Amino acid sequence: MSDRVFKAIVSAVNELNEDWGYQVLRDVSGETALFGAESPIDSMGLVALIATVEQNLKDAFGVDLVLADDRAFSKNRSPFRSVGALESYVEALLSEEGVCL
Amino acid sequence: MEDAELKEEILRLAREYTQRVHGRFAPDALSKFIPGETEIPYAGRVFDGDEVSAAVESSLDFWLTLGTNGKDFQKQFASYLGVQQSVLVNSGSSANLVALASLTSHKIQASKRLNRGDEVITCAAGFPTTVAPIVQLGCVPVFVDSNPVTGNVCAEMLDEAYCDGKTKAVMIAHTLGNPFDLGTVLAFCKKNDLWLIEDNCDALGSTYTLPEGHPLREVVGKKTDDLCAPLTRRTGAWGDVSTQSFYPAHHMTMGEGGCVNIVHERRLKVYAESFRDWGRDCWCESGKDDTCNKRFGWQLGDLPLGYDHKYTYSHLGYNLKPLDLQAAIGIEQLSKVDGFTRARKENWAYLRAGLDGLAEFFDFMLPTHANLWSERGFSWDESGCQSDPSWFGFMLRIKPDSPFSRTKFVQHLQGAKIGNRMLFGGNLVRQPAFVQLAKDAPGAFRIVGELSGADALMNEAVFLGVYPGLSKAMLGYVVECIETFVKKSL
Repeated sequence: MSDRVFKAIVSAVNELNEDWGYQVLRDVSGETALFGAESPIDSMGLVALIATVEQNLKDAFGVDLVLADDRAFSKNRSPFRSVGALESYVEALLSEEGVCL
Repeated sequence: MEDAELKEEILRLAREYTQRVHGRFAPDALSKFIPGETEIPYAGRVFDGDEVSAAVESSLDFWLTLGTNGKDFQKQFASYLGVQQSVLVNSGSSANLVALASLTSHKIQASKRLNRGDEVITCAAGFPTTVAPIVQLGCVPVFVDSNPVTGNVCAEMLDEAYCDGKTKAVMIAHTLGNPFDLGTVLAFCKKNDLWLIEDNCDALGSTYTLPEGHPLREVVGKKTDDLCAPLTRRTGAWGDVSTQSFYPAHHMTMGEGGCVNIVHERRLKVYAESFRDWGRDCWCESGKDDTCNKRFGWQLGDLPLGYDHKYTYSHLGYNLKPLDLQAAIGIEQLSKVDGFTRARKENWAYLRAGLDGLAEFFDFMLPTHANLWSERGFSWDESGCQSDPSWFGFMLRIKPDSPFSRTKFVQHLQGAKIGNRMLFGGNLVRQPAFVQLAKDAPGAFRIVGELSGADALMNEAVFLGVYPGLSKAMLGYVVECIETFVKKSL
C-alpha cells in the first residue's frame, strides 16, 4: 500500500469536508464509506471528491488519471465504496501507468 | 464508393471550395488589398480548409451536441493555458455567467460561497458581461476606476473597495489583451481570502511574469517551480477561475463559443458543468445514461428514493452548451493560436512604430508595468513584474488638447474603410442599463472614487485592429491615413 495514495485521498476528503461538514468523515480510515448506502456523500459530492482526488494524484505523481469513467463504474464492486477500495483502485491504475509506488 | 471514401471526397471538396471561396481570409492571401476600397476590419476570423473540413466532418457525423470533439478540445485547451480543466460553453458571456454561478454552489462552504448581497469588485471600464452576471446572481458589483494608459483596473484602489464581511470575489478583465496587475490583485485576493475570476476573453496568449524572489511566488507557485527564476504563466492561469470567448473577433474562434477554466480546484468543474447543463445533478456525458450505476438509486432533496437521476437538479442552472461542431473548429484554431499571437504582437508593434511621430496628439496604450515604449522595446517599472500582451487591439487616446476631436477622427477612419471601435461599453455606470438599475434598485452597485480614468477611456479612446488577417500593406495604409488626417487638422 502506498502512503502517498492514501494521503492524496484523505487530503481530498478533508478538503471537501470543510465544504460539506459531514461528521462521519472526520476520522478517515480505509473503512470510511464514500459511495453507497453507508456513505453520507451525495452524487455531486462524490464526483467533486473524485475530481479532487485526481487533482491530488496529479500533484503527487504527475499523472493525470481519470477515475470516474465507465471502467470504474462497471465493476461489480465499486472502487468508490470506501477509502481503502479507492486506494487499491488508484494503485492499480498508477501501476498501469508505470508509476513506482 | 464506400462510406469512408465518400466522406474523404466530401472533405477534399470542402477544402477545395474553401480555398476557392474563402482564400482571402487566409493570412497568406491578402494581395488583393486595394487602399481605400477594401475594408480593413478591426477583427475577424482567420481560417482555411482545416477548419471547414473539421466542421463538415462533424456535420457528417451529426452527433450535434457536445461529444468527442468537445472532450478533446477541453483537454487540449486546459493544457495550452496551464489550468486543471476547461468547460466549453456557448459564449464568453456565458462563460462569465457560469464561472460566477459555480461559486454560488451550495457545495462550497458558506464562508467562501457567493451569496446574494455579497460584493464582487470589478472594473468600471470594459465589456458589460464581465459585470452583468454579478447583478444577475444577486451580488453587488463594486466599481473601481481604470487606468487610462493600460486600460486596466487601478489595482492600488482595491483596498479602498474592500468591505470586510461583504467582499467575496474580484472579477476583472485583461483589457484588450493587456494583463492587469496580477501581482497586486493576487496579493489582495490572498490577503483577504477572495476568489479571483480572470475574464481572459480578450487576452488569449498573453503572459504575465513574477520576478524571482517575489513574495507571491511561494503562494501561487507549484512545487516543481524554480523559485530562483522568474515565473511566467499565461493570463487565465493565475486566479481561481477564468473565462474565454471564441467569438470571431477574438484570438481564436469557433463562431459562437467560450469556456470556463478551472485553474486550481477541480471540483469547481463539477459545479460549473451543473450550472451549464440545466443545473442537473447527473454528471453523465452527453449520450450516456447511468454512468454511476445508481441512476435509480439516489435519494436527493425531497424526491422519492430512486427518482431518475437524469432529472434531478441540484442547482438552478441554464443550458449553455455549444455544439460539437464548434469544438471541432476550435481544435483546428487552437493548433494555430501561437501563430495568431505572434501576428498580433507584430501588428501592434508595426502600428506603434508607425504612429510614434504623432505622440503629440495621441496617448498610446502601454502594457501593465511598462512605463515607456521605444523601438528597442519597453522599459519597466520597479516592481519587477512584466506583462506580454497578445493584443486584442491597438488602443490610442486622443489628447484633450489635440486640434481634432475623437468624433472627427473616427469619422475619418470610417470614411477610409478602417475598422475601429471604442473601448467596449466605456464607463459602464454611464450605460443606460446601469443608470436605470441605479434608479430602480439603489444599492444594486457601488462606486469607489470618481471613475475619472474610466471616463477618460470612454471619452478619448479608440482601438484599431491588429488581428492576423491584416497585412503589412493594410497596416501601412492605416498609418498613412492617420498621418494625413492629423496634417489636415493642423
